[in-house]
Amino acid sequence: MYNTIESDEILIARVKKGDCEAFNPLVERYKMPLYKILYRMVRNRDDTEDLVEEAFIKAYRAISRFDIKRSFYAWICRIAVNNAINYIKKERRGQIQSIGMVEYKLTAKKGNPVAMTREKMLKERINVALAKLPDEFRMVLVLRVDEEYSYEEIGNILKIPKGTVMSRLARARQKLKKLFNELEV
Amino acid sequence: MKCDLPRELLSGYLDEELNQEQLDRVKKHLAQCDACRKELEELKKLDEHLRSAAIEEPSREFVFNLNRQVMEKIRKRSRFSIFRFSPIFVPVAVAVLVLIVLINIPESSKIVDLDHRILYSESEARKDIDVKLPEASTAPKMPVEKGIAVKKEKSDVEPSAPIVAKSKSYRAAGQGVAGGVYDRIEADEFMRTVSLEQIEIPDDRVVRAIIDTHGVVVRVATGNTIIPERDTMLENRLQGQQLKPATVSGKKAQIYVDLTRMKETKECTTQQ
Repeated sequence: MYNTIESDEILIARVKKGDCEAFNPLVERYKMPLYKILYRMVRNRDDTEDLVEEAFIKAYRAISRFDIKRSFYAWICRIAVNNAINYIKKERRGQIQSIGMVEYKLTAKKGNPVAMTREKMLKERINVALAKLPDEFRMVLVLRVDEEYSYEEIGNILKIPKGTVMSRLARARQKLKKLFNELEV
Repeated sequence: MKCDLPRELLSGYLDEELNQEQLDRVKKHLAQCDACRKELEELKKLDEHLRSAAIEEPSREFVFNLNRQVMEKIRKRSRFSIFRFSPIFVPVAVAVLVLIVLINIPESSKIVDLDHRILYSESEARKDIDVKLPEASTAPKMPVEKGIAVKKEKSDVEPSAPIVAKSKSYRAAGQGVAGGVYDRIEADEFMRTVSLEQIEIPDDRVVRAIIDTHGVVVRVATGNTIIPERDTMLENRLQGQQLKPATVSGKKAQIYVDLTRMKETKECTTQQ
């Protein structure tokens, strides 16, 4: 059994030598952070859980190419995000809008809005607005606002220039603000 | 006042990603534009809402079983691919396979190709082996390729029994070429059976030939010691020459001979 306080570097070095059991603490350590970031992108629990599992399997397959001097979380996060981007492009093209509308309708029907606190209503609104946001906008917003990646890091993950990250974020914020305001009761 | 500040500068300002020039411009603009100050506040609040956006809790199965599921798949994969972590495994495996195939190809079936470069290492270590050298045959010369007939005088030297010479042989450094490994034989012994006048080796060139396991001159090349060249006239004159098959260590073998060296050796002998 591996000590959970062992550093990523030690665990990865063991995995690279063929000790696959050393990968287990890494899964335990990063499954929830990855779940959070992927959920914000995918907005669906089952899909997110599948994508987290896939990310770990892909990371294990590619571990021989991982530079041990770099951050393992940043590396696996990039794998997970790229995987999620591909998944959304292939599997869910054109479905985001409808999912957002379904969520909105369900939210509107759920309980009495008057009884909901202001904070809860705000959270509902932002969730629905996020769900309705185009994928490319949601990606940059999640990476920047939730994960606090720099523009350069986001550019590396999404394979776009830094200037494009800047302009896309600005447009994403404008679009989200518009959607958010439209949902105001 | 008309607001001309690009929205991406406002967004970049919020993220602290502007360079000094852009930062100065935004600060200066914000100091005198109420609308942009208000929008900046709205964007800040929107970011706060985003950070507080609810995330659906993962399932119990995910929380408690993900490790087991991932590790099961990883173990299964590791069991069937113990060399997966070695990036050199595939090329090494291919090289070993090719080597095994080459070793198992019969010597006589190897391809001889002088159109490619063949390297000769004169300094390479030699080892003594018993070689039965080919002799000039009494049989008529075989038809020349491309229908060109060349009249040949009968050799002055009568064929004799195969000579068993204690000669030196080595593997040419060009053994990688077309998979061929040629046993090279010192020409001095070979000279006893072939007429130089008949072969007519040019004075200014190195001439080499390959004699197959049936004793027929199959390929001829000229040139310097490194790069063989083709000489059609010379090929027509020499190719198809029937000699008695050479044997190396008691077995018929395809051999490589240096005809220039043969000539030099004979001249030395004549002078003496």
